[in-house]
Amino acid sequence: MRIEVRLPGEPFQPEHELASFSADGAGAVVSFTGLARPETGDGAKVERLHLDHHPRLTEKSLHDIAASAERFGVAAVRIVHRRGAIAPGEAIVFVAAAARHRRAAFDAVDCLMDRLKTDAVFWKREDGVDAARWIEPTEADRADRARWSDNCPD
Amino acid sequence: MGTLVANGLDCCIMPTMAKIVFYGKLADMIGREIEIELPPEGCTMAALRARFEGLDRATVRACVNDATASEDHVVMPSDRVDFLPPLSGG
Repeated sequence: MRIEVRLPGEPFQPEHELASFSADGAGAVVSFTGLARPETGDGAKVERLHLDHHPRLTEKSLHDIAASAERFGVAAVRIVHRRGAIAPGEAIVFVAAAARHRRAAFDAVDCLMDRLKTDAVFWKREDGVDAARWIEPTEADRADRARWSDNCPD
Repeated sequence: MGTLVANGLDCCIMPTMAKIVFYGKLADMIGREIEIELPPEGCTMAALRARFEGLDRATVRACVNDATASEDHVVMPSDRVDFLPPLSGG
């Protein structure tokens, strides 16, 4: 399985990531793009999202998460994850998987996103007009992550 | 933040500096990076942790040179120590 991981500090174009991603013999490419929301869960305006990261452990965590997609039998995966300051509407994360058949690619991307939401080494802060708030995974995030055992799939 | 210097440290031995790095909300509270003096024989992670506010051992993971370290791990001068609060995820 081919693994591609990047951790850019500047905006990236998800459409370019998708256009340049494939694998020999692939019959399916599935991708997901996550965007920075303009509002918090409480409806407060977010001026900027800040993703603090570790200079080595963050990228290692992305590699480890990407490698976990091997269980699905996909041919290639790509994870592009922003770090630093992110404006609302900008892409935070792009995940893609290429496989011979669609189900493996769908499952791989679904699993990778659930793992990224809880296991990726980031610390996320929402900067509002008057206050900044550090956020942690929600119970829903943890429940999503729990759908995938360490040695799935079934 | 204060410095850590062992009692009876030989005046002729220059203590060296350990780099301590904080992430996430800890960086906002304490600062991103500080250097502290350690005695040549080092000090335990528990002793180092006790020097700072907010480093609850139940939630704040300590790493030495990128590997998770236990509370009785001896931090040596020239080590790099990271204190990692709970992850936010991506």
